[in-house]
Amino acid sequence: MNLVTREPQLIKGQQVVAASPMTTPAEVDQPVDDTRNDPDVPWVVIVWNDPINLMSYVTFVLQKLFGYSRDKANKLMLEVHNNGRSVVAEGPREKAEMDVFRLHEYGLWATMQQDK
Amino acid sequence: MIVKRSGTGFDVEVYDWQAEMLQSLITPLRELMMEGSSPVLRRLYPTAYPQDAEADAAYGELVHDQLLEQRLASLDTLERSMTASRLTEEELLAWMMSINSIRLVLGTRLDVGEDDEPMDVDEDHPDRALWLSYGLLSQMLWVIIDAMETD
Repeated sequence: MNLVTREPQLIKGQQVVAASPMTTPAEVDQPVDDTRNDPDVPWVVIVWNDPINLMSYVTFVLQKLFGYSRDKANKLMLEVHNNGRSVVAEGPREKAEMDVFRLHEYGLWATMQQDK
Repeated sequence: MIVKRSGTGFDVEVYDWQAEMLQSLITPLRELMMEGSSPVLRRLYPTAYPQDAEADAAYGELVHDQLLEQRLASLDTLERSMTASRLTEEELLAWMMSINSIRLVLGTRLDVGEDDEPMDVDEDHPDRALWLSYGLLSQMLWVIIDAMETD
């Protein structure tokens, strides 16, 4: 089974995907963020809905990485699923970045931004 | 695939046809990941700072190789232990992460949507084999998560 055979189509496919929820953050037209470098404003870690990661997988990863109870992890997962996104953690920039990295290790679609 | 918690580890059984399917996906995925330029890998390296391209570039530079190495190591673990009958929790986690990585790449390649039913793909669909693989990988992931969540 060759994942590469239809490669040329992927470039076309990517344009289709670019309109999907996966790339929403990159496309959101946000006003200039004046507080970006304010160390007192906490950072939030957001997990976004995507059509690939299984609901049970998202719940499992949130429990595993953050030590959340099954109920809490499930509630956050349902927020992701129903609302398209959920804030799963917050804190100083370094901690938020580490959390984002750990979520990326598990293949979740996580981003971070300052909470205003 | 059967996975059951037992003592400090897990009893596992992967059927021959499942092992063949996994191997047929692991080999090209490893090549794709090492080559590194294919757009289907996009979901393995998500954006961290959607509102700050500069910070995101710095983040990507910092983590890209770590993400790559960790995924290659997990794929190696899956490949090496696929026919084992006992796994440690760490090995099973590597299986889980590898199967999810394959799903992310396959799902990107197939442009999977929320309402797609992979196992119901038309018999004459040109990507039928990939859709079925995607569906089977989802089932394997359920089995693994279910076993890990059981005390």
